Amino acid sequence: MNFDHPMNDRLWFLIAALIVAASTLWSFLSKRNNPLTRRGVQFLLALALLSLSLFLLERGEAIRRCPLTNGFEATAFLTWGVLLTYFLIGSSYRLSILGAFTAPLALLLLTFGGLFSSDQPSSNLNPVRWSSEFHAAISILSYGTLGLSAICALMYLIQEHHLKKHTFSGWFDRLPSMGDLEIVLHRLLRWGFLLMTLGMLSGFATGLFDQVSMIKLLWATVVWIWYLGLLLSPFLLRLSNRRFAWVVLIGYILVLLSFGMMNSLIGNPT
Amino acid sequence: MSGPRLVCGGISFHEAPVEILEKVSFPKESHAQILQQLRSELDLEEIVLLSTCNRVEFFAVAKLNSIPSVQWPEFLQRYHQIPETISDHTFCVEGTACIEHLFEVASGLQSMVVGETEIFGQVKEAYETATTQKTTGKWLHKLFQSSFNAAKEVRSQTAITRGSVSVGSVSVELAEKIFGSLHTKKALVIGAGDTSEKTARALLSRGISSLFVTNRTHERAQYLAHELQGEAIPWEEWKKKSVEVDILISSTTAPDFVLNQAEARTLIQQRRGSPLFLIDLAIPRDFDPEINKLDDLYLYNLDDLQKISNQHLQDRGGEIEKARQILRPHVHKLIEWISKHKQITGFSP
Repeated sequence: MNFDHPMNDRLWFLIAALIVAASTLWSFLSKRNNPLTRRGVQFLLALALLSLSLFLLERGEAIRRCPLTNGFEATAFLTWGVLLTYFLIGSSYRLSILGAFTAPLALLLLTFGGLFSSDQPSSNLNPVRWSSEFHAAISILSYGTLGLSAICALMYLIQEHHLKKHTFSGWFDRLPSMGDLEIVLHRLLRWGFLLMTLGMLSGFATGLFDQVSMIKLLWATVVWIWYLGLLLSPFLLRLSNRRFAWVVLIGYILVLLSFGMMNSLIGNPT
Repeated sequence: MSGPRLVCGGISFHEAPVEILEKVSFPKESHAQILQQLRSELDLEEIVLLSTCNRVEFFAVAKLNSIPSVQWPEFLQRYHQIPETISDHTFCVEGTACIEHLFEVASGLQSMVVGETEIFGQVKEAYETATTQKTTGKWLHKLFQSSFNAAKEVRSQTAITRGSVSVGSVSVELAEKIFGSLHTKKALVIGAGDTSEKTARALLSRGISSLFVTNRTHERAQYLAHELQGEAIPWEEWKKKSVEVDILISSTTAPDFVLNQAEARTLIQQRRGSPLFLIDLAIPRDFDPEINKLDDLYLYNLDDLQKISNQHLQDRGGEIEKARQILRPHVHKLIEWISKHKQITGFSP
């Protein structure tokens, strides 16, 4: 983990990463779908969310703006968005098992953020308009929501594989039904797309149209069109549910990869 | 023996063939009278009678001069007017073995289908009937309450009740894995076989919204549809109807496939991404196995369903030892309680 930032709020980030690692281990080592494991994993993820909230709060107060000024903060914010969406969606749709899949994604993001993202204070800490902060925050939240839709797609594909191959014993026996996953997947996509649209509109409202902003705008437009296409695909294409789930999953991985590549090229993560 | 003893005895599928079990079972309405009769004829202080399809057993506190191991088979023979001797098929145990036996029965470890939960309700009902008839007292109250607690712990701490073990319930479990709630789902039964009827009933019990039945002989379809409160449709129309149903159950005697891959492909295209669950209960098979290669179609034949059922049974069997370990402290606790009171004998804690 990169500790070159002068602040010690990163301790909350580290605690969150350790808690998420513990919940990942617990859910995957548990052989049976017992209520204790489900509640335990949920409790640990709630602690991780709290810990990340404290990190973002302390960092926000220290830099006096939304903590999205470098890659480290952006990763923390994205993970926070994923966990928050999990609690909103997981409890609404009785998909507590989603926690077992959210935990590794959060762990991956926090590990990636902690090891590879720079936590150098941004060279440009001039006052920013609220519209810029709103734009950044809402956009990150939309990627968190779409991240959960990718997790749902993965769960769908695993369940589908087992039903096709007639194999049921083992850890994956506890997965929710394909019907339920399909409903949640589509709802998450709709919410993610709505947030992304809001993020883009608020991006226009910032009035920033320099070269860096234009590259980001172009990238965001491509991603927006991609998700619009996904939402319209049931009416336009005859994709099977399995293919649709693959498209959602691979699409999100490509979005994350291209997001990372774009930021490393233009040198500004947010 | 210096005082009354805790005894239990009976006859079950473990010891007796089904022909004998059929003869010795007691109809529910006769239980009240049988309890009083058994208490008096077997010299018992307290008694609970458990009579199900697979076992007829009693749990009792016997008086000093009682010999239930002899009196029990004699009573059964006399009551049911069975000419042949049945004592070879009965059992009778006392003390600790009796406690262990009841705990295992209530937990489903002694059931034909290990882990089935119906027996718990049957034991409870037997105890309640005996309580109503005032044939229970301090000892049997304690024994049965302890058995309920022990059985509940076994059910919650082991996987003994997990996984369906009949073709019908496995089909329902699979349907729920595919669709989630079945309340808005429709099923079509093709051919009016016995297994497909049972499967349809299992699906109905889980709340499917509509059921259609088709058969080459329309009268037979109408009869089954009436039985299942469904709708009969002519044989010529079932493929058209398949577009709007979610589950197809087939058990015809047709020598060839009634649905091949090309037809299934057309069907799934017409359904616009809505999954279809195909249950093939026919021998020879009704659905082309190649259908399972198509997206959004899930095909299971009788062999697949039986394999899953057997796997579940095997998994349950693997939990028996774990369940016995859970029961042990419950047995010891009860023996300690009985020893403190020292009024009945025959225990070795």
